[in-house]
Amino acid sequence: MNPVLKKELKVRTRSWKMPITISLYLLLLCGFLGLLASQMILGYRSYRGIRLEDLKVLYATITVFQLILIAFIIPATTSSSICGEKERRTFDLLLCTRLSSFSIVSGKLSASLSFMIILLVVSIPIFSIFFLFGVITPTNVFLLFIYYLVTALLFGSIGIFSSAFFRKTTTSTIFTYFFVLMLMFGTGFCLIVARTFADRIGINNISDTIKAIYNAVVYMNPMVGIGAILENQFGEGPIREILIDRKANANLLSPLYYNMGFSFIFSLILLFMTSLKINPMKKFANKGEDKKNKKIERKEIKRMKR
Amino acid sequence: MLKVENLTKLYGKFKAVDNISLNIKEGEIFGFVGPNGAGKTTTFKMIATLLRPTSGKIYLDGMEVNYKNLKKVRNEIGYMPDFFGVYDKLKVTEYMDFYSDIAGIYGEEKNRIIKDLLQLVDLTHKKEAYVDSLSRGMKQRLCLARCLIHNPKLLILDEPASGMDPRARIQMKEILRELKKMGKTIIISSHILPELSELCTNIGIIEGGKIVVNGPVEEIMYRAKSNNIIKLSVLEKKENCIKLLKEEPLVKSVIENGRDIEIEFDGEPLELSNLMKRMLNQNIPLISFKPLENNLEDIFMEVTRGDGE
Repeated sequence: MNPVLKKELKVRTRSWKMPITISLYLLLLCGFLGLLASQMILGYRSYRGIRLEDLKVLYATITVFQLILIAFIIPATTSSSICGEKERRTFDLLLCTRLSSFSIVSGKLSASLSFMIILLVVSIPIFSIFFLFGVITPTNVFLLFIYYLVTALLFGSIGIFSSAFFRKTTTSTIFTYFFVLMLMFGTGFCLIVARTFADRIGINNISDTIKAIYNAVVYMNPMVGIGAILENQFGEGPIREILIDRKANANLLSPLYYNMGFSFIFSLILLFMTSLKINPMKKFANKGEDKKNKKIERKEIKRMKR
Repeated sequence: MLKVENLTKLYGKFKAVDNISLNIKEGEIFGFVGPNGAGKTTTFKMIATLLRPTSGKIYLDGMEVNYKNLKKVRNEIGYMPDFFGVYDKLKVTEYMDFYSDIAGIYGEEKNRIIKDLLQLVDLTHKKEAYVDSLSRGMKQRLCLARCLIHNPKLLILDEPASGMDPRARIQMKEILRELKKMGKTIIISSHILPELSELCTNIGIIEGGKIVVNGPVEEIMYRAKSNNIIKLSVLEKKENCIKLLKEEPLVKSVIENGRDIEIEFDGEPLELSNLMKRMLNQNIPLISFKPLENNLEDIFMEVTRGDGE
């Protein structure tokens, strides 16, 4: 077992922060579900029962809500992981050991992901309610949870990356939230604007390259993954409308696979860059400093020539 | 054991370390002395693989300290920084356990090493205490124990006794003596110079990123003594004595200090003895004639200008 992960788990489970966060998480999920359900049931005038259509909406809303919660929790736990160590002055002690930079980064990330797994596991009973009414199958939930995990990996990698690049936790946290929100809502906004223009021009008049770029941005957005899962479960959804030139017989889950593929590869790139950044003996970690020194050296040579 | 060749570290225009070279043999205790901001910590960090040098090379046991040999080098080094933090939710044994896991030491061997090290740094009675609750001195000792967990050949100790009370400092000194007996090569920086001169075999004085003095402690002390101060007192004929001293070519300065006279003598012990004889021949009633003892603090004050900060 990675020593950093082992230590992190020990430290995290010792504080009150963990049970409080789990309780708050469940409270939020249950509260949100309860609020939606009560709104629906109170809204019925003549029918006293549960409608499958409403449950589907309820389920879709709760899955998106869980994704939003992940987008808020994971950056909070990862964006301070490395700069927190720097601020506590424990990072140098860790760096000068025989532990590789990648082990430090992966240990920190897996600690955050294991916390996320705990949150996902405790939320299973809430999702089980939907089994009772036949809204979803266990396979659907399994796929959904795999998707959550991969998305958490992406958000976590962004958090770890920024915590290695910024010295202060506050700056790192702000950057992580900005990046995650841009990925979720920024790309969404760009897509809406692009689609409006595309519809006005006429989709057939757009070049294939632009269509490919547009679809690539669609696959980057984490919301698209969840959209594809829901579309596959219920046989209807907005993804069909969002993508350009989608074939009629295309696999409904393919946007999810592309999205998870993007999340996974992008996470690996970020983790690799982070491990380079925290390694003081690597050129990448000293790039800025080296550039500055070279500039000064060049200036000195010029001055001497004159 | 450790060879440093023309090591330089630039931070923009500022030269933190300026072309320094060192050669530290196995079993040596090398004291690194210098004012704040002189470049001690930067040099230590470069040796401990925590900073990439701008230029120059470091060799540890013939192996170049670079990215390729990182793991091997780190296996041979135990680094204790001047300021360090601890994980507040860990107990002393768990803290040691964490670093043993990193060092790849498991099972019975791990328990034995942790027990021995806590005994060495006198923290056995605190093994169940939370690290955060320890005093500054205890934390320093715990950090030293952490450095030793993988049995490194070279120990880099940056101000290990800073902020400690006298008792804790004495304890730290005893531990370092023990490590010296164990044959560890140690590079140590400290502001408590008398302790350093007692403990170290070699001394390097650094200022403005440059090594200004480097060599065995005795040699440096002797070198400093060649410009030494002699304090003498006479029963009477003080004026005659001062006149005679001023005529001596090896006497650089004569200062009257109450009943005493202090002279700066630049010569060998034999020439000093001849001077004393000449004074006695001139019937100067000498009461005392004693060279003032020089210590590391005097040498430090002499060779540094104190503009490091």
